[in-house]
Amino acid sequence: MESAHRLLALFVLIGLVLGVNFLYVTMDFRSYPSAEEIMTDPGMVDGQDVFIFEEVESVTSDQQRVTILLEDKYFAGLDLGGDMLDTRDEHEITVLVADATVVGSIQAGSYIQIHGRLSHESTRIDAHTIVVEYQHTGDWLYTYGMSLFGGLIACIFFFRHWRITPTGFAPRRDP
Amino acid sequence: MAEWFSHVLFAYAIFTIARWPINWIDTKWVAVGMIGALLPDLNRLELVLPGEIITSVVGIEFGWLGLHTIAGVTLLAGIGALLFRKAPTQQRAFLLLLGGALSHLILDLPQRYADGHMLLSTYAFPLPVPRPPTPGWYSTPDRWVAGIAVILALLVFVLNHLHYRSPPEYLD
Repeated sequence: MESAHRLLALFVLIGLVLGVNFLYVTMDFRSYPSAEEIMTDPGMVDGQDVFIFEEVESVTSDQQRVTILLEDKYFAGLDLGGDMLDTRDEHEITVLVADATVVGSIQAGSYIQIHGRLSHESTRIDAHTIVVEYQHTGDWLYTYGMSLFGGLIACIFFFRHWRITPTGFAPRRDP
Repeated sequence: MAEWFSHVLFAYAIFTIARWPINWIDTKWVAVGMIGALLPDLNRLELVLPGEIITSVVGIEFGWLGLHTIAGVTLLAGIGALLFRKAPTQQRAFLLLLGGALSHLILDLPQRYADGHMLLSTYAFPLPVPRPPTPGWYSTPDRWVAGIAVILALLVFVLNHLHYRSPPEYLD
C-alpha cells in the first residue's frame, strides 16, 4: 500500500476509533439506573435494583454499613499542580451490608461492586451482593505493577523480532 | 480484568500452540499476538486524558471505554497493522493483533460481578448480545491468576520445544 494511502487509512481508522468512543458512551447497556439517573432524580429510581462500582468513603466498625459517594465530575481547567477535574454534584449513599462473606474485608478506600435495592430517595442501598474488588492500596499496586511488568515483557519480546524502519515495522531478519 | 502480565502470557500460550498447525506463525508473530493482548486496555488512556476533558473541549460526551469492545479492538488492530511495512505482513499483523485483543476480552469475561452476570453486552459492542451468568472465577487483584498464566506459559514453552525437536512425520 502506498505511503499516502496508508496515511489516509490511518487517519480514517483513528477517526473511526474516536467515533466508536463517542458512540459507546451514548449506549445504555445495563438494565439498572446509572449514577447520573440516581443523582438527577433520586426518588424516581427508589425501589429499583442498582449495580454500582464505587470507592468506599467510610465503613462502620461492625462492617454493617458502608458509605459511598456518587460524583458528577467535569473539566475545571488545566492545573499542573492538581486535579483538573472538579465535582459538579455529589450524592451520598449508605449501603447496608447483608452479605456476610465480605464482612471484615471492606475498609475506607476499598473499591467495591454493589448489587442491591435503592430506597429512601436513593440515599440507601440494601445490598444483595457485594464484591470487594480492590481491598487496599496493595491490590492497586499489585495490579499496576504486574501490568507494567507484563507490558515490558511484551515490548521486549516484540522488539527482539521486529525493528522500526522509516516505512514501518519490519522483521529483524529482513534485509 | 486480569493484569497485563497474565494477558501477555496467555496470549503467548495461545499463539505458540497455534504455531503447530499454522506454519506461517513463527516466534515474531507470537510477539505480535502478545502486543494485541494489550490493545483493549488502551482505555486506560482515561488516566492520562480523562474523557471529561475531551467532552469539555468538543461539547459532546466522550469516554475511552469504547476501546475495550470488539468494535474498538478491531479498529485498533487495523491501525496497528498499518504500522507494518508490507501488505502481506499487514494482513497477518491484523489477524494476530485482533486475535490477541480478542483473547484479552475473552479472558476478562468470567470475572466476579456482584449481579452475577458477565459484561459480555459491553465487550461485544456493537453486537447486541445479552449478559449471561458469570462463573465468577476471579477478581483483578487475585494473585493466583498470574500463577496459572506462568504455569501454562512454561508448559507450552516446553511442549513447543519438544514439538520442534520432533517434527511431525510428514516432514521426514
